[in-house]
Amino acid sequence: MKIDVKKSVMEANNEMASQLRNVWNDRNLTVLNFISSPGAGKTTLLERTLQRLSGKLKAAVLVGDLQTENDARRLEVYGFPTKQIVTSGTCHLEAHMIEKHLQFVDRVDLDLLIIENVGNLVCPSSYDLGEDAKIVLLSTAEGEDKPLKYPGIFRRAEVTLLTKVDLVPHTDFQVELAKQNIYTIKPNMSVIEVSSRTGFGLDEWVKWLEDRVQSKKSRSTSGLPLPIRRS
Amino acid sequence: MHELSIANQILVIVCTEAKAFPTADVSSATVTVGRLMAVEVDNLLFCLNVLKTNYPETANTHFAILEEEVNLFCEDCGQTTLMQNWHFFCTACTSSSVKTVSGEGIIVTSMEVDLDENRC
Repeated sequence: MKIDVKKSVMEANNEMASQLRNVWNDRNLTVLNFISSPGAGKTTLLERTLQRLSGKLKAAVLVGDLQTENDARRLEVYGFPTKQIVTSGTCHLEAHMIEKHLQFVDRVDLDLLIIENVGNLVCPSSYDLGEDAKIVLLSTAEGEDKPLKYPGIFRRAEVTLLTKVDLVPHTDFQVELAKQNIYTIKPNMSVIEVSSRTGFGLDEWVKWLEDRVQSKKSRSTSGLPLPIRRS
Repeated sequence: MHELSIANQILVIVCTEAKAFPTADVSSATVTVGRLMAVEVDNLLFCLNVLKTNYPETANTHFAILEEEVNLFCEDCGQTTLMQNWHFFCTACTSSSVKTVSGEGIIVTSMEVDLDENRC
């Protein structure tokens, strides 16, 4: 006898993510999920970001890694509540992990929750954490065809941060070709070139972030419905 | 491993559905995998065949995987077309104002149960 099942493998995760999203929307809390290959510069970029946000936004950070608490230790020095999620082998964060660890960093008047995902361009792309936007990092130490090789995350992300642009003079990386490949996957992608080392592009990036936080608060107070985001 | 985690989740779904038929064997189950999910099908099948023996409900289940293509709905011309070469443009009118309407999920689509009338 044939039984129709039609159940998504992601159903349990998506239900939890949806619950988190509803709670965060009610609080006007902006949540961003940072995704990249290992070594693309997520943690360093977040160090520079938190430095610039100090005194401007109330933020908290959840950091995912297979092992160690190194990244949380690096980020907590900037004075924002920070918690390491050690996955012990799982190559991505899932909504239930966020729900479990949120209590350690949550504050009543939070403006922004930053989630630094495990270094991986594949699995984190598929798991909705309840975020407002996925931010993907692509470094100039990688190949220009990375977007074509990993279309899932580049399709789902709202912003691509092109990191380590200070290395471009020393490599064969072609910035315009990388952008062309990004736009092939997502024609309306916002691409911001940054260097955490020199500071290039960081003002533009932090402005984008501040505007994003303000935009969510403005939509809320104006009575406009918040965007329904598909994972 | 990506496929290992997914395989286990598939088995949990099948076992949960099988509870409605406690005297039946799950002879087969079909899973639809969207191409945007970055799942290697042979790897997923391998993982399913390894893990299925962990559950009595699925120990003898034959798993089939269907790959679902990525189709794009064009907001400009209203047509739904098949994505070509990972280019997210409408192949009918070349517009980039497209939304993905298939190819993004992993769904346990159906299963076959063998009802044994002689079983208590």
